[in-house]
Amino acid sequence: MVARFVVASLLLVAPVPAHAVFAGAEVIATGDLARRVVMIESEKRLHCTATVLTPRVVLTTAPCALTARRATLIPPGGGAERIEIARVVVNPEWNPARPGGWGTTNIGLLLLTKPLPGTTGGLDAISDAPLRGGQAVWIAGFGRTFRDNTATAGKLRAAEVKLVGPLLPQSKETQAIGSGEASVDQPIASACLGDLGGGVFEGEGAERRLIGMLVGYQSPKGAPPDTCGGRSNMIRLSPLRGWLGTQVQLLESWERPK
Amino acid sequence: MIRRIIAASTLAFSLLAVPAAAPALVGGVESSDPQGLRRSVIMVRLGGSFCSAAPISPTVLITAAHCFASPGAWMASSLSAAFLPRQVKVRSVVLHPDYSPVARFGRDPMADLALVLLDAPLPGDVRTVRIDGREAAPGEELTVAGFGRNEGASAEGALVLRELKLKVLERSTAIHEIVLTETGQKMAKPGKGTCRGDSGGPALRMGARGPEIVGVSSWSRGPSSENICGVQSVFVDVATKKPWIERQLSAWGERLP
Repeated sequence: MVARFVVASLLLVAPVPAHAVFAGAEVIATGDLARRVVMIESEKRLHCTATVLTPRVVLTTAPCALTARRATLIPPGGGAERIEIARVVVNPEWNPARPGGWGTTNIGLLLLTKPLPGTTGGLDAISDAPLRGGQAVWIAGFGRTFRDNTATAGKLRAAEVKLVGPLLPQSKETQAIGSGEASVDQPIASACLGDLGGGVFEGEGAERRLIGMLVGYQSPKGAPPDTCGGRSNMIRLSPLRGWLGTQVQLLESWERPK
Repeated sequence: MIRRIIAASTLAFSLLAVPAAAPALVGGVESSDPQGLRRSVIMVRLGGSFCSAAPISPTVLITAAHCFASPGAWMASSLSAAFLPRQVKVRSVVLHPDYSPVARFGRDPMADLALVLLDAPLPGDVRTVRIDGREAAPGEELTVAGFGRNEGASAEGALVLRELKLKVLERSTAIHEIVLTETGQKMAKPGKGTCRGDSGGPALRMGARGPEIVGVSSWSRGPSSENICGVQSVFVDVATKKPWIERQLSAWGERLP
Protein backbone atom coordinates (compact mmCIF):
# COMPACT_ATOMS: atom_id res chain seq x y z
CA MET A 1 0.00 0.00 0.00
CA VAL A 2 1.21 3.45 -0.75
CA ALA A 3 2.30 5.49 2.24
CA ARG A 4 2.19 9.12 1.39
CA PHE A 5 -0.73 10.77 3.03
CA VAL A 6 -2.30 11.20 6.37
CA VAL A 7 -5.89 10.14 5.91
CA ALA A 8 -7.75 9.95 9.17
CA SER A 9 -10.55 7.67 8.04
CA LEU A 10 -8.11 4.92 7.26
CA LEU A 11 -7.39 4.41 10.93
CA LEU A 12 -10.71 2.62 11.19
CA VAL A 13 -9.07 -0.53 9.98
CA ALA A 14 -7.20 -0.85 13.26
CA PRO A 15 -9.59 -0.34 16.17
CA VAL A 16 -6.79 -0.78 18.70
CA PRO A 17 -3.63 1.40 18.70
CA ALA A 18 -3.43 2.77 15.25
CA HIS A 19 0.19 3.50 14.73
CA ALA A 20 0.08 3.48 10.95
CA VAL A 21 -1.05 6.82 9.70
CA PHE A 22 -0.33 6.28 6.06
CA ALA A 23 -2.63 5.70 3.20
CA GLY A 24 -2.48 2.02 3.92
CA ALA A 25 -2.85 1.27 7.61
CA GLU A 26 -1.18 -1.83 8.99
CA VAL A 27 -3.67 -4.49 9.93
CA ILE A 28 -3.12 -5.44 13.55
CA ALA A 29 -4.79 -7.24 16.42
CA THR A 30 -8.42 -7.82 15.57
CA GLY A 31 -8.18 -7.22 11.86
CA ASP A 32 -10.29 -9.94 10.24
CA LEU A 33 -8.43 -9.26 6.99
CA ALA A 34 -5.38 -10.98 8.49
CA ARG A 35 -7.13 -14.32 7.93
CA ARG A 36 -8.38 -13.49 4.48
CA VAL A 37 -5.18 -12.37 2.79
CA VAL A 38 -1.82 -14.21 2.77
CA MET A 39 1.71 -13.36 1.70
CA ILE A 40 3.25 -15.33 -1.18
CA GLU A 41 6.96 -16.03 -1.51
CA SER A 42 8.80 -17.27 -4.57
CA GLU A 43 12.25 -18.81 -4.68
CA LYS A 44 13.75 -15.40 -5.29
CA ARG A 45 11.95 -14.19 -2.15
CA LEU A 46 10.04 -11.57 -4.07
CA HIS A 47 6.50 -11.80 -2.99
CA CYS A 48 2.99 -11.00 -3.92
CA THR A 49 -0.34 -11.39 -2.16
CA ALA A 50 -3.07 -14.01 -2.34
CA THR A 51 -6.64 -14.01 -1.14
CA VAL A 52 -8.22 -16.91 0.73
CA LEU A 53 -11.06 -18.66 -1.07
CA THR A 54 -11.12 -21.81 1.08
CA PRO A 55 -8.72 -22.96 3.82
CA ARG A 56 -6.64 -24.83 1.23
CA VAL A 57 -7.13 -22.74 -1.94
CA VAL A 58 -5.97 -19.14 -2.42
CA LEU A 59 -6.38 -16.81 -5.36
CA THR A 60 -3.69 -14.66 -6.96
CA THR A 61 -2.50 -13.29 -10.32
CA ALA A 62 -1.18 -15.62 -13.04
CA PRO A 63 2.47 -14.43 -12.90
CA CYS A 64 2.40 -14.74 -9.11
CA ALA A 65 0.91 -18.25 -9.29
CA LEU A 66 3.61 -19.39 -11.73
CA THR A 67 6.44 -18.45 -9.36
CA ALA A 68 4.78 -19.03 -5.97
CA ARG A 69 6.36 -21.55 -3.59
CA ARG A 70 5.01 -20.69 -0.12
CA ALA A 71 2.00 -18.94 1.40
CA THR A 72 2.32 -17.26 4.79
CA LEU A 73 -0.60 -16.37 7.02
CA ILE A 74 0.27 -13.76 9.65
CA PRO A 75 -2.56 -14.05 12.18
CA PRO A 76 -3.53 -11.30 14.61
CA GLY A 77 -1.14 -11.48 17.54
CA GLY A 78 1.75 -12.90 15.52
CA GLY A 79 2.97 -16.44 14.92
CA ALA A 80 3.27 -16.67 11.17
CA GLU A 81 2.15 -19.92 9.54
CA ARG A 82 4.15 -20.74 6.42
CA ILE A 83 2.69 -23.42 4.13
CA GLU A 84 4.10 -24.97 0.95
CA ILE A 85 2.21 -24.94 -2.32
CA ALA A 86 1.13 -28.33 -3.68
CA ARG A 87 -0.41 -27.42 -7.01
CA VAL A 88 -1.01 -24.41 -9.26
CA VAL A 89 -3.73 -23.68 -11.80
CA VAL A 90 -3.62 -20.68 -14.14
CA ASN A 91 -6.62 -19.50 -16.15
CA PRO A 92 -6.13 -21.14 -19.58
CA GLU A 93 -6.87 -17.87 -21.36
CA TRP A 94 -4.06 -16.00 -19.65
CA ASN A 95 -1.63 -14.87 -22.35
CA PRO A 96 1.94 -13.96 -21.25
CA ALA A 97 2.46 -12.17 -24.57
CA ARG A 98 -0.27 -9.58 -23.85
CA PRO A 99 0.66 -7.85 -20.60
CA GLY A 100 -1.72 -4.96 -21.21
CA GLY A 101 -4.68 -7.09 -22.17
CA TRP A 102 -5.14 -9.58 -19.41
CA GLY A 103 -8.61 -8.55 -18.35
CA THR A 104 -10.28 -11.24 -16.30
CA THR A 105 -7.83 -13.94 -17.31
CA ASN A 106 -4.93 -12.75 -15.13
CA ILE A 107 -5.79 -15.17 -12.40
CA GLY A 108 -4.40 -18.31 -10.82
CA LEU A 109 -5.19 -20.59 -7.91
CA LEU A 110 -2.80 -22.18 -5.44
CA LEU A 111 -3.54 -25.42 -3.58
CA LEU A 112 -1.75 -25.47 -0.22
CA THR A 113 -0.29 -28.63 1.32
CA LYS A 114 -2.40 -28.09 4.47
CA PRO A 115 -5.22 -25.78 5.51
CA LEU A 116 -4.55 -22.23 6.66
CA PRO A 117 -5.33 -22.15 10.40
CA GLY A 118 -8.37 -20.19 11.52
CA THR A 119 -9.71 -19.61 8.03
CA THR A 120 -13.13 -20.48 6.76
CA GLY A 121 -14.82 -19.75 3.53
CA GLY A 122 -15.87 -21.08 0.22
CA LEU A 123 -17.19 -19.36 -2.81
CA ASP A 124 -19.88 -17.82 -0.57
CA ALA A 125 -17.16 -15.33 0.31
CA ILE A 126 -17.62 -13.82 -3.16
CA SER A 127 -20.32 -11.18 -3.44
CA ASP A 128 -22.71 -11.14 -6.40
CA ALA A 129 -24.25 -7.83 -5.32
CA PRO A 130 -24.27 -5.13 -7.97
CA LEU A 131 -21.47 -2.58 -7.63
CA ARG A 132 -21.80 1.16 -8.08
CA GLY A 133 -19.42 3.97 -8.92
CA GLY A 134 -18.23 5.80 -5.80
CA GLN A 135 -18.86 2.75 -3.61
CA ALA A 136 -16.36 2.42 -0.75
CA VAL A 137 -14.30 -0.78 -0.75
CA TRP A 138 -11.29 -2.10 1.15
CA ILE A 139 -8.09 -3.21 -0.53
CA ALA A 140 -5.48 -5.30 1.31
CA GLY A 141 -2.01 -6.55 0.51
CA PHE A 142 1.53 -7.30 1.70
CA GLY A 143 3.24 -4.90 -0.70
CA ARG A 144 5.37 -1.84 -0.29
CA THR A 145 4.27 1.58 0.86
CA PHE A 146 6.65 3.15 -1.64
CA ARG A 147 7.76 1.54 -4.83
CA ASP A 148 11.44 1.72 -3.84
CA ASN A 149 11.10 0.92 -0.16
CA THR A 150 11.57 -2.83 0.31
CA ALA A 151 11.57 -2.46 4.10
CA THR A 152 7.89 -1.64 4.08
CA ALA A 153 6.92 -4.91 2.41
CA GLY A 154 5.83 -8.06 4.20
CA LYS A 155 3.25 -6.46 6.46
CA LEU A 156 -0.42 -6.55 5.73
CA ARG A 157 -1.91 -3.15 5.06
CA ALA A 158 -5.42 -2.19 4.12
CA ALA A 159 -7.04 0.99 2.92
CA GLU A 160 -10.50 2.24 2.10
CA VAL A 161 -10.87 3.47 -1.47
CA LYS A 162 -13.71 3.95 -3.95
CA LEU A 163 -14.80 2.23 -7.14
CA VAL A 164 -14.47 4.53 -10.12
CA GLY A 165 -17.59 4.67 -12.26
CA PRO A 166 -19.06 3.93 -14.64
CA LEU A 167 -19.09 0.21 -13.93
CA LEU A 168 -19.34 -2.48 -16.55
CA PRO A 169 -20.49 -5.42 -14.45
CA GLN A 170 -19.81 -8.37 -16.75
CA SER A 171 -16.97 -6.77 -18.63
CA LYS A 172 -13.66 -8.50 -19.26
CA GLU A 173 -11.95 -5.16 -18.65
CA THR A 174 -10.39 -4.42 -15.30
CA GLN A 175 -12.23 -2.16 -12.86
CA ALA A 176 -10.55 1.05 -11.67
CA ILE A 177 -10.37 1.82 -7.95
CA GLY A 178 -9.32 5.20 -6.60
CA SER A 179 -10.61 8.38 -5.07
CA GLY A 180 -13.90 8.15 -6.92
CA GLU A 181 -12.76 10.95 -9.23
CA ALA A 182 -11.98 10.30 -12.86
CA SER A 183 -8.44 11.67 -12.53
CA VAL A 184 -5.92 11.21 -9.69
CA ASP A 185 -3.82 14.36 -9.31
CA GLN A 186 -2.42 13.79 -5.80
CA PRO A 187 -1.26 10.47 -4.33
CA ILE A 188 -4.03 8.37 -2.83
CA ALA A 189 -4.07 4.96 -1.20
CA SER A 190 -3.31 2.41 -3.87
CA ALA A 191 -1.86 -1.00 -4.51
CA CYS A 192 1.93 -1.07 -4.97
CA LEU A 193 4.66 -3.60 -5.74
CA GLY A 194 3.77 -6.85 -3.94
CA ASP A 195 0.06 -6.15 -3.47
CA LEU A 196 -1.19 -7.81 -6.66
CA GLY A 197 -3.38 -10.80 -5.84
CA GLY A 198 -4.73 -8.98 -2.78
CA GLY A 199 -8.47 -8.93 -2.18
CA VAL A 200 -10.94 -6.11 -2.74
CA PHE A 201 -13.76 -6.27 -0.18
CA GLU A 202 -17.10 -4.68 0.50
CA GLY A 203 -18.64 -4.45 3.99
CA GLU A 204 -16.99 -4.72 7.39
CA GLY A 205 -15.95 -7.49 9.79
CA ALA A 206 -18.06 -10.65 9.56
CA GLU A 207 -20.14 -9.07 6.80
CA ARG A 208 -17.09 -8.42 4.67
CA ARG A 209 -17.32 -10.08 1.25
CA LEU A 210 -14.94 -10.35 -1.66
CA ILE A 211 -15.74 -8.47 -4.86
CA GLY A 212 -12.41 -8.46 -6.68
CA MET A 213 -8.67 -9.09 -6.81
CA LEU A 214 -5.95 -6.48 -7.36
CA VAL A 215 -4.21 -6.86 -10.75
CA GLY A 216 -2.58 -3.47 -11.32
CA TYR A 217 -1.73 -0.01 -10.10
CA GLN A 218 -0.79 3.35 -11.58
CA SER A 219 0.83 6.63 -10.55
CA PRO A 220 -0.93 9.95 -10.01
CA LYS A 221 -1.22 12.20 -13.04
CA GLY A 222 2.19 13.63 -13.93
CA ALA A 223 4.15 11.37 -11.52
CA PRO A 224 6.78 8.97 -12.87
CA PRO A 225 5.36 5.59 -13.90
CA ASP A 226 5.31 2.87 -11.27
CA THR A 227 5.59 5.17 -8.27
CA CYS A 228 2.20 3.91 -7.04
CA GLY A 229 -0.43 6.20 -5.51
CA GLY A 230 -2.75 6.52 -8.49
CA ARG A 231 -5.64 4.29 -9.39
CA SER A 232 -5.54 0.59 -8.64
CA ASN A 233 -7.14 -2.01 -10.87
CA MET A 234 -9.07 -5.11 -9.95
CA ILE A 235 -10.77 -7.92 -11.76
CA ARG A 236 -14.30 -8.74 -10.66
CA LEU A 237 -14.73 -12.20 -9.21
CA SER A 238 -18.47 -12.65 -9.55
CA PRO A 239 -18.31 -13.28 -13.33
CA LEU A 240 -15.57 -15.87 -12.71
CA ARG A 241 -17.58 -17.83 -10.16
CA GLY A 242 -18.14 -20.77 -12.54
CA TRP A 243 -14.47 -21.27 -13.37
CA LEU A 244 -13.42 -20.71 -9.77
CA GLY A 245 -15.96 -23.24 -8.48
CA THR A 246 -14.84 -25.96 -10.88
CA GLN A 247 -11.16 -25.40 -10.20
CA VAL A 248 -11.52 -25.22 -6.41
CA GLN A 249 -13.36 -28.54 -6.46
CA LEU A 250 -10.71 -30.15 -8.70
CA LEU A 251 -7.87 -28.83 -6.56
CA GLU A 252 -9.39 -29.90 -3.26
CA SER A 253 -9.88 -33.45 -4.55
CA TRP A 254 -6.38 -33.62 -6.06
CA GLU A 255 -3.90 -36.04 -4.55
CA ARG A 256 -0.19 -35.88 -5.10
CA PRO A 257 1.03 -38.98 -6.97
CA LYS A 258 2.85 -41.44 -4.70
CA MET B 1 17.02 -21.27 -12.07
CA ILE B 2 17.43 -23.66 -9.19
CA ARG B 3 14.25 -25.41 -8.28
CA ARG B 4 14.66 -28.35 -5.96
CA ILE B 5 17.23 -30.83 -4.84
CA ILE B 6 16.30 -34.38 -5.82
CA ALA B 7 19.05 -36.29 -4.11
CA ALA B 8 22.22 -35.42 -2.32
CA SER B 9 24.42 -36.39 -5.23
CA THR B 10 22.26 -35.43 -8.20
CA LEU B 11 20.68 -32.05 -8.68
CA ALA B 12 17.78 -31.30 -10.98
CA PHE B 13 17.29 -28.00 -12.75
CA SER B 14 14.96 -26.36 -15.17
CA LEU B 15 16.71 -24.95 -18.17
CA LEU B 16 15.26 -21.50 -18.68
CA ALA B 17 18.07 -19.02 -19.18
CA VAL B 18 17.92 -15.98 -16.99
CA PRO B 19 20.39 -13.11 -17.21
CA ALA B 20 22.93 -14.84 -14.97
CA ALA B 21 25.77 -17.24 -15.65
CA ALA B 22 24.50 -20.04 -17.84
CA PRO B 23 26.55 -22.70 -19.57
CA ALA B 24 25.71 -24.02 -23.03
CA LEU B 25 24.52 -27.37 -24.29
CA VAL B 26 27.25 -29.49 -22.71
CA GLY B 27 29.44 -31.18 -25.30
CA GLY B 28 27.43 -29.80 -28.21
CA VAL B 29 28.90 -28.53 -31.44
CA GLU B 30 27.99 -25.18 -32.91
CA SER B 31 25.52 -25.57 -35.79
CA SER B 32 27.18 -24.31 -38.96
CA ASP B 33 25.35 -25.98 -41.85
CA PRO B 34 23.07 -23.39 -43.50
CA GLN B 35 20.80 -26.28 -44.52
CA GLY B 36 20.87 -27.84 -41.05
CA LEU B 37 19.12 -27.34 -37.73
CA ARG B 38 19.27 -23.52 -37.83
CA ARG B 39 16.15 -23.92 -40.00
CA SER B 40 14.25 -25.80 -37.27
CA VAL B 41 15.25 -24.29 -33.93
CA ILE B 42 13.94 -20.86 -32.85
CA MET B 43 14.78 -18.66 -29.88
CA VAL B 44 12.02 -17.04 -27.82
CA ARG B 45 13.08 -14.16 -25.60
CA LEU B 46 11.93 -11.42 -23.28
CA GLY B 47 14.67 -9.03 -22.19
CA GLY B 48 17.59 -11.13 -20.94
CA SER B 49 15.56 -14.32 -20.50
CA PHE B 50 15.32 -16.77 -23.34
CA CYS B 51 14.36 -20.30 -24.27
CA SER B 52 14.65 -22.51 -27.33
CA ALA B 53 11.66 -23.67 -29.39
CA ALA B 54 10.75 -25.54 -32.57
CA PRO B 55 8.31 -24.57 -35.34
CA ILE B 56 5.42 -27.02 -35.83
CA SER B 57 3.80 -24.76 -38.43
CA PRO B 58 4.93 -21.50 -40.09
CA THR B 59 3.21 -19.51 -37.30
CA VAL B 60 3.27 -21.86 -34.27
CA LEU B 61 6.20 -22.89 -32.06
CA ILE B 62 6.35 -25.59 -29.42
CA THR B 63 8.41 -24.91 -26.29
CA ALA B 64 8.42 -25.29 -22.50
CA ALA B 65 5.76 -23.75 -20.22
CA HIS B 66 8.22 -22.74 -17.49
CA CYS B 67 9.69 -20.13 -19.85
CA PHE B 68 6.63 -17.90 -19.42
CA ALA B 69 6.32 -16.85 -15.77
CA SER B 70 7.02 -13.26 -16.85
CA PRO B 71 4.52 -11.47 -19.08
CA GLY B 72 5.76 -9.00 -21.67
CA ALA B 73 6.53 -8.35 -25.32
CA TRP B 74 7.94 -11.79 -26.17
CA MET B 75 9.84 -12.11 -29.45
CA ALA B 76 10.86 -15.11 -31.57
CA SER B 77 14.14 -15.19 -33.52
CA SER B 78 14.88 -17.55 -36.37
CA LEU B 79 18.36 -17.85 -37.85
CA SER B 80 19.13 -16.78 -41.41
CA ALA B 81 21.54 -18.79 -43.59
CA ALA B 82 24.21 -16.38 -42.30
CA PHE B 83 23.13 -17.28 -38.74
CA LEU B 84 21.79 -13.80 -38.04
CA PRO B 85 18.55 -13.34 -36.09
CA ARG B 86 15.26 -12.49 -37.80
CA GLN B 87 12.66 -11.40 -35.29
CA VAL B 88 8.92 -11.96 -35.24
CA LYS B 89 6.57 -10.73 -32.49
CA VAL B 90 4.75 -13.27 -30.36
CA ARG B 91 0.97 -12.80 -30.41
CA SER B 92 -0.20 -15.46 -27.95
CA VAL B 93 1.20 -18.08 -25.62
CA VAL B 94 -0.83 -20.92 -24.18
CA LEU B 95 0.48 -23.15 -21.39
CA HIS B 96 -0.52 -26.80 -21.14
CA PRO B 97 -3.46 -26.93 -18.69
CA ASP B 98 -1.73 -29.58 -16.57
CA TYR B 99 1.52 -27.63 -16.28
CA SER B 100 2.50 -27.43 -12.62
CA PRO B 101 5.42 -25.21 -11.61
CA VAL B 102 5.55 -26.94 -8.21
CA ALA B 103 5.70 -30.51 -9.56
CA ARG B 104 8.58 -32.59 -8.19
CA PHE B 105 11.25 -33.35 -10.77
CA GLY B 106 10.97 -36.91 -12.04
CA ARG B 107 8.11 -37.80 -9.70
CA ASP B 108 5.05 -35.76 -10.65
CA PRO B 109 3.72 -35.08 -14.16
CA MET B 110 4.88 -31.57 -15.04
CA ALA B 111 3.32 -31.12 -18.52
CA ASP B 112 5.98 -28.47 -19.10
CA LEU B 113 4.72 -27.56 -22.55
CA ALA B 114 3.61 -24.33 -24.26
CA LEU B 115 2.51 -23.32 -27.74
CA VAL B 116 3.43 -19.91 -29.17
CA LEU B 117 1.41 -18.18 -31.89
CA LEU B 118 3.42 -15.66 -33.91
CA ASP B 119 2.20 -12.36 -35.32
CA ALA B 120 3.44 -13.29 -38.82
CA PRO B 121 4.72 -16.46 -40.51
CA LEU B 122 8.38 -17.33 -40.08
CA PRO B 123 10.62 -16.78 -43.14
CA GLY B 124 10.13 -19.30 -45.94
CA ASP B 125 13.43 -21.12 -45.38
CA VAL B 126 12.36 -22.25 -41.91
CA ARG B 127 11.65 -25.99 -41.89
CA THR B 128 8.85 -27.12 -39.58
CA VAL B 129 9.28 -30.23 -37.45
CA ARG B 130 6.74 -33.03 -37.85
CA ILE B 131 4.78 -34.55 -34.98
CA ASP B 132 4.24 -38.19 -35.93
CA GLY B 133 3.28 -39.46 -32.50
CA ARG B 134 5.81 -42.30 -32.75
CA GLU B 135 7.14 -43.04 -29.27
CA ALA B 136 10.81 -42.92 -28.38
CA ALA B 137 12.44 -46.34 -27.97
CA PRO B 138 15.08 -47.06 -25.30
CA GLY B 139 18.55 -46.81 -26.84
CA GLU B 140 17.29 -44.77 -29.79
CA GLU B 141 19.59 -41.93 -30.88
CA LEU B 142 18.01 -38.45 -31.03
CA THR B 143 19.43 -35.07 -32.03
CA VAL B 144 18.95 -32.26 -29.53
CA ALA B 145 19.59 -28.58 -30.17
CA GLY B 146 19.30 -25.29 -28.36
CA PHE B 147 20.57 -21.79 -27.74
CA GLY B 148 21.84 -22.57 -24.25
CA ARG B 149 24.45 -19.95 -23.69
CA ASN B 150 24.95 -17.01 -21.39
CA GLU B 151 24.08 -14.18 -23.72
CA GLY B 152 22.41 -16.14 -26.46
CA ALA B 153 24.34 -14.19 -29.07
CA SER B 154 27.96 -13.67 -30.02
CA ALA B 155 29.58 -10.24 -29.93
CA GLU B 156 28.69 -9.88 -33.59
CA GLY B 157 25.03 -10.49 -32.82
CA ALA B 158 24.85 -13.99 -34.29
CA LEU B 159 22.80 -16.37 -32.19
CA VAL B 160 24.75 -19.41 -31.14
CA LEU B 161 22.91 -22.66 -31.78
CA ARG B 162 24.43 -25.93 -30.66
CA GLU B 163 23.48 -29.51 -31.42
CA LEU B 164 24.28 -32.87 -29.98
CA LYS B 165 23.29 -36.54 -30.28
CA LEU B 166 21.94 -38.26 -27.16
CA LYS B 167 20.34 -41.67 -26.55
CA VAL B 168 17.08 -42.59 -24.86
CA LEU B 169 17.59 -44.01 -21.36
CA GLU B 170 13.90 -44.38 -20.59
CA ARG B 171 10.45 -43.15 -21.41
CA SER B 172 8.19 -42.66 -18.40
CA THR B 173 4.56 -43.38 -19.21
CA ALA B 174 3.54 -42.18 -15.73
CA ILE B 175 4.84 -38.64 -16.03
CA HIS B 176 5.12 -38.30 -19.84
CA GLU B 177 8.83 -37.58 -19.90
CA ILE B 178 11.77 -38.99 -21.87
CA VAL B 179 15.18 -39.20 -20.22
CA LEU B 180 18.22 -38.91 -22.50
CA THR B 181 21.87 -39.48 -21.65
CA GLU B 182 25.10 -39.47 -23.63
CA THR B 183 25.31 -43.26 -23.73
CA GLY B 184 21.70 -44.38 -23.33
CA GLN B 185 22.84 -45.93 -20.02
CA LYS B 186 22.77 -44.47 -16.52
CA MET B 187 25.73 -42.16 -16.13
CA ALA B 188 28.08 -42.39 -13.17
CA LYS B 189 29.78 -39.15 -14.21
CA PRO B 190 28.41 -36.15 -16.08
CA GLY B 191 28.74 -36.22 -19.86
CA LYS B 192 27.03 -34.47 -22.71
CA GLY B 193 23.56 -33.01 -22.28
CA THR B 194 21.16 -30.10 -22.25
CA CYS B 195 21.77 -27.07 -20.03
CA ARG B 196 20.34 -23.64 -19.22
CA GLY B 197 18.79 -21.85 -22.18
CA ASP B 198 18.08 -25.14 -23.92
CA SER B 199 14.62 -25.25 -22.31
CA GLY B 200 11.95 -25.72 -24.91
CA GLY B 201 14.41 -26.96 -27.53
CA PRO B 202 13.57 -30.12 -29.47
CA ALA B 203 14.77 -33.71 -29.35
CA LEU B 204 14.52 -34.75 -32.99
CA ARG B 205 14.40 -38.01 -34.91
CA MET B 206 16.29 -37.21 -38.11
CA GLY B 207 14.96 -38.99 -41.18
CA ALA B 208 14.63 -38.70 -44.92
CA ARG B 209 11.29 -36.88 -44.53
CA GLY B 210 12.84 -34.15 -42.37
CA PRO B 211 13.11 -33.75 -38.61
CA GLU B 212 10.42 -35.25 -36.41
CA ILE B 213 9.98 -33.85 -32.88
CA VAL B 214 9.96 -36.46 -30.12
CA GLY B 215 10.62 -34.35 -27.03
CA VAL B 216 10.71 -30.79 -25.70
CA SER B 217 13.59 -29.94 -23.35
CA SER B 218 12.41 -29.31 -19.78
CA TRP B 219 15.02 -29.93 -17.09
CA SER B 220 18.36 -31.57 -16.39
CA ARG B 221 20.24 -33.44 -13.71
CA GLY B 222 23.85 -32.72 -12.85
CA PRO B 223 26.29 -33.72 -10.13
CA SER B 224 26.44 -30.49 -8.11
CA SER B 225 25.08 -26.99 -7.77
CA GLU B 226 28.07 -25.73 -9.76
CA ASN B 227 27.65 -28.33 -12.47
CA ILE B 228 23.94 -28.71 -13.04
CA CYS B 229 23.97 -30.51 -16.36
CA GLY B 230 25.24 -33.64 -18.08
CA VAL B 231 23.87 -36.52 -16.00
CA GLN B 232 20.36 -36.64 -17.47
CA SER B 233 18.58 -34.49 -20.07
CA VAL B 234 14.83 -34.69 -19.55
CA PHE B 235 12.25 -33.94 -22.25
CA VAL B 236 8.45 -33.76 -22.35
CA ASP B 237 7.12 -36.76 -24.34
CA VAL B 238 5.46 -34.98 -27.28
CA ALA B 239 3.72 -38.10 -28.62
CA THR B 240 1.40 -38.20 -25.60
CA LYS B 241 0.52 -34.51 -25.95
CA LYS B 242 -0.43 -34.55 -29.64
CA PRO B 243 -4.22 -34.39 -29.03
CA TRP B 244 -3.82 -31.22 -26.94
CA ILE B 245 -1.52 -29.68 -29.56
CA GLU B 246 -4.07 -30.33 -32.31
CA ARG B 247 -6.94 -28.94 -30.23
CA GLN B 248 -5.03 -25.76 -29.45
CA LEU B 249 -3.98 -25.24 -33.07
CA SER B 250 -7.59 -25.65 -34.09
CA ALA B 251 -8.67 -23.02 -31.50
CA TRP B 252 -6.26 -20.61 -33.21
CA GLY B 253 -7.55 -21.52 -36.67
CA GLU B 254 -4.27 -23.28 -37.45
CA ARG B 255 -3.38 -26.87 -38.30
CA LEU B 256 -0.33 -29.08 -38.55
CA PRO B 257 1.18 -28.97 -42.06
